[in-house]
Amino acid sequence: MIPFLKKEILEQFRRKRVLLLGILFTAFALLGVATAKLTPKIMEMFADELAKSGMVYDITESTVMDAWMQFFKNAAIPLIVMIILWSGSFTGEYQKNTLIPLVTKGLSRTSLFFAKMITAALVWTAGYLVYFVVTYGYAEFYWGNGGVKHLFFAVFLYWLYGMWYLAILGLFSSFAGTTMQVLLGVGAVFFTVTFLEFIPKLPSKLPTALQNGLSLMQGSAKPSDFTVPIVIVSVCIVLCLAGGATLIRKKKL
Amino acid sequence: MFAETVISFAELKQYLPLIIPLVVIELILLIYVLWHINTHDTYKTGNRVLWNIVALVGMNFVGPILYLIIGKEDA
Repeated sequence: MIPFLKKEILEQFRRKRVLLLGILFTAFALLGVATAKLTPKIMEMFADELAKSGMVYDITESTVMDAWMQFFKNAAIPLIVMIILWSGSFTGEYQKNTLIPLVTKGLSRTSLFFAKMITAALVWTAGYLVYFVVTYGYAEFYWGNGGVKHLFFAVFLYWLYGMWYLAILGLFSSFAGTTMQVLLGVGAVFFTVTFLEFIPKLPSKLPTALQNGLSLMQGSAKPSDFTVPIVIVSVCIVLCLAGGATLIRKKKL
Repeated sequence: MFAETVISFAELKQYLPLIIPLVVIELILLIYVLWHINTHDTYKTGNRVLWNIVALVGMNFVGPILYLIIGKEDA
């Protein structure tokens, strides 16, 4: 398994995915801080225009919370790019028949599955870490992170949310035939969860609740509010990984 | 129109730590992608002219990133 894992990780460098995601995460972190910093300035510029049309905008200085708000808002885009990039991780190899030589030479399908999942998890973790460090650094530089409550826990929640998507991606990859089927599967899960959010009292228990790290930072939520979604997501991840590792044994490579 | 609200140099200096890295990353990405487009003959989708246009028109990250996701062939 270790040589295969090494090969998988090396592949991410060779395919320039590390470069692409590194740039993407850094760029979105910078853009998020820039948006937070510049919005009051831009509103000030247009204040006269807006006043003519009857809109009055109270100009307030941006705070560190604006930067973290952008952090959680923008994080979805690198996550989506990552899902698209990884959607072909298994299916691409099924179609090119490149897994057959490895399996006939004795690589177990379970190790094959987990090596790919570990690689995806490592890349997401590293990218997210870059994203966090850049935002944190600039937030400290411009405003200071003193007033932010439960900073690391809030940031951890979104990381877990990303891991949840990767686990679902792994589950669908283990039995789907084409990349499109994997993407449709992940999309279906996304829409189901979004739909469930309309049911009263349920949103705070769904995996999507993990995106609300900002409420934790502002102090309007406490860490214990997130116990239920964390448990649900963790169980989901374990089930997806176990399911994927089982289903890939039945898969015709 | 913006006569009275022009950003002064002192204010601009405040934003430089954000603007400089963004511009540098944008340029590195653009140069790399243009080099890649023009030294490769086959793409996942599209052709050389199309990708050159996309990369240049959307040079604020969008064009180069689109190319890397759906244009560049997997090595």
